[in-house]
Amino acid sequence: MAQQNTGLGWSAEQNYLVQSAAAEVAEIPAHIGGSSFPGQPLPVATTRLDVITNGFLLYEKTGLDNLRHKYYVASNTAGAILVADMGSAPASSFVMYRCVTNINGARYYMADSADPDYFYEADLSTSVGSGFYSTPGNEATSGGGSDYALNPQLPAFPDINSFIAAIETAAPTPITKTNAGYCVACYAQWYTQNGTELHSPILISSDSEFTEMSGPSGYNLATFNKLLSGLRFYMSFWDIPAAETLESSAPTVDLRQNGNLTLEQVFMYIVSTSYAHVIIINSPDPYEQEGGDGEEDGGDGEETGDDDAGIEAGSDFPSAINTGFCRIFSPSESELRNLSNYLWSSNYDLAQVKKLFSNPMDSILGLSAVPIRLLGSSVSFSLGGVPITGMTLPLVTKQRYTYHMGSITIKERWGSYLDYDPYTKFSIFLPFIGMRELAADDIMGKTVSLVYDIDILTGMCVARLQAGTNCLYEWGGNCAIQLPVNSRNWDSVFSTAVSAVGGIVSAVTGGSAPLVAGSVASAALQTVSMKPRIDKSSTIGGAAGWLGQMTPYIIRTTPEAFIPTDQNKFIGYPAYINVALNSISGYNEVESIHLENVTATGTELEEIESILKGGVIF
Amino acid sequence: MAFNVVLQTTTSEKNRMDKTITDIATYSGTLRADTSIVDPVFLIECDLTSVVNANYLTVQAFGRSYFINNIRSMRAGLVEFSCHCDVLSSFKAQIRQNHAIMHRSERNWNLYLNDGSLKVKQNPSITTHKFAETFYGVYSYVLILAG
Repeated sequence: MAQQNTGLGWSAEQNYLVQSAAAEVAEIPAHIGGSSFPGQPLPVATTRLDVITNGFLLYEKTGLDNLRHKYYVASNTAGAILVADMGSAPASSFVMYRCVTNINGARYYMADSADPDYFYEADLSTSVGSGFYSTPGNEATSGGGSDYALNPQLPAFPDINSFIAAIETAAPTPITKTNAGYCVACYAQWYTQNGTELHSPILISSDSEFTEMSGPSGYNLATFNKLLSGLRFYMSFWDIPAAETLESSAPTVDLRQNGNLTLEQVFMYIVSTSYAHVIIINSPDPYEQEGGDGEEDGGDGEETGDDDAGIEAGSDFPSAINTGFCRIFSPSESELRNLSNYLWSSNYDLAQVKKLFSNPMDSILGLSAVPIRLLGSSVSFSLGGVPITGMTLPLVTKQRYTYHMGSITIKERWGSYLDYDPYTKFSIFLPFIGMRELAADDIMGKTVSLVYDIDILTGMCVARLQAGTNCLYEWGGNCAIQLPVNSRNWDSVFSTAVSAVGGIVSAVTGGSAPLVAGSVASAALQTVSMKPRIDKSSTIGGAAGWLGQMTPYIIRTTPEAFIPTDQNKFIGYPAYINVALNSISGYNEVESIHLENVTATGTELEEIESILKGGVIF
Repeated sequence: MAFNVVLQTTTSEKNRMDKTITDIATYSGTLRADTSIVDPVFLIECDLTSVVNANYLTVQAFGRSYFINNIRSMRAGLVEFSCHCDVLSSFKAQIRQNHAIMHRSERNWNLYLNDGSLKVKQNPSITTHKFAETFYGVYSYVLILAG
């Protein structure tokens, strides 16, 4: 079996698993393929299934002892599930179900270690009953494979709605054991082969049914090793031709003629409780978003006001408003049109304009648009000292506004140095500012929030990336687009536009520079640092900013680790710790040792030290 | 000095401290010539076919176990065993009383130590994620009037 280099590795101490699920499934030989799997590879798409982080949560079910079944369910955030049925006889044997979700749809693929002919596919978006398939030769098209075919009197699988209803009945707040939004529920029925129901449908993975296993990392290591052994045991089946499976080599018993047999058939459904919320399984997104879905059709936090979490008026700011030389209004488009019409009408008495202004329009210090929604109480106003009768405008009382863009939790993916610089790289796109680099060391493991401080008078904005209340980064920009109200204003707008274009041009022409420099400078570095860093955007501010992306986002570049199976057993992982040699086991390489109280010859002592440094299995 | 030589078979890795050993036969003899206890050579009167699977032997009197590096049939009924001391197994109890700084380990590791042991593919994974809020579709006019 070509299962080498599938990337399966486990660190019990680190509670960390790396597994190439997609690769393993793709290796399933042709005879496993069935009517629902007309081609290879199996439709377990997604490149995201190949990484499982944060370890497994392992649950133990002991409540069905009447059948001497004992289940261990391990779930993780990547949509892979291991279900171990510890079986009934012999006590040391067990069945390993391995389920892989297709994160692009509500589908599960479940392999049965005791019967490699079985490879179930479940379309949970429609009906479990019609969604399970077995492989050729097992003619049943639904309901659970050859055993079902031999025993057509067995009841069909309940549909998914009944299933979910049963779950919710058993656990009104469905399944609280979650792991990053994902959890697992199992639902089982037992029947004898003559169709007698041995156990009513039961939810077996609610909190009350499953207890999280004890141990320093939330599981019992010995049991987990047994699970892992089972996984390998199951994997080894994939090379066995159909005619040589355990089932076909076992003594033949015509179950239809022996209704007294107590062989049981186990139907097991595995679902995510989030199914009820449409989202079946999230991909192992390293981010955990807070505060909304970030759709581009507009955020909610655009209004001013105390009850608005998205935006708040700033304080401790030398506001021009307080000087009395100017007032800031936030008119609507219709109000602006009305004002414009008024100014060009005969109603506006130029003779009344204060002599302070040579041009009445000079009393309009500026007109711009800013990317926040301002509110104010409508008040009457004057222009050039001339009261504008019959019109009011919303008066803005603050000059500085703070806009909260939300937060993102940056999680480790590998649980290793690969999650940090220079292997993992981050950059952030900031509207009106552009793309900026972030150091993985600064933000890894933190929940970072992005806040814009906006001065609506000048249009200047400062984006702050914070971890808690600590500011990690600050970038400046301009988010206002100047609108012309007279020829002087138009000059300003035009010059701003030219400046913005110049910025873009410089970015384009300068784009090759970091590419070349990066390639040359890093030639002697490792592969990951040989990657050139390309400027993804220039400084985008002012009018140009309004033409660009309006939603901030983070780009994460994560290395894809390639870890051979059992790498730790062959060459270990870095340790660099001082230990007593009588306290360790497994493969170990010694960095340094001063051998004492060993009654060996000098030559032998040198040989012992050499061997220890070369690697010894304790 | 008479002593016993226990011919054995081991299937364990050479670098394993606790080897799984199966005894084949025990022979008694004496030292008749110069010999090293680190790389001894034993001449044993025995049937070659009965000892061809021996790859390990223990001489309790020497306090050592040995890898059998070569087996030579000298003549009918006389077999020569060239050995080398298995220092790991012979002194394992004393070795285990020592402390050491471990460079790498199967079970006690710290993956945040960058020793380059984790290989990465050339094609990294690139993901993006938006913040919850956006400036899209949101704007206000700002009119600044003197006075």
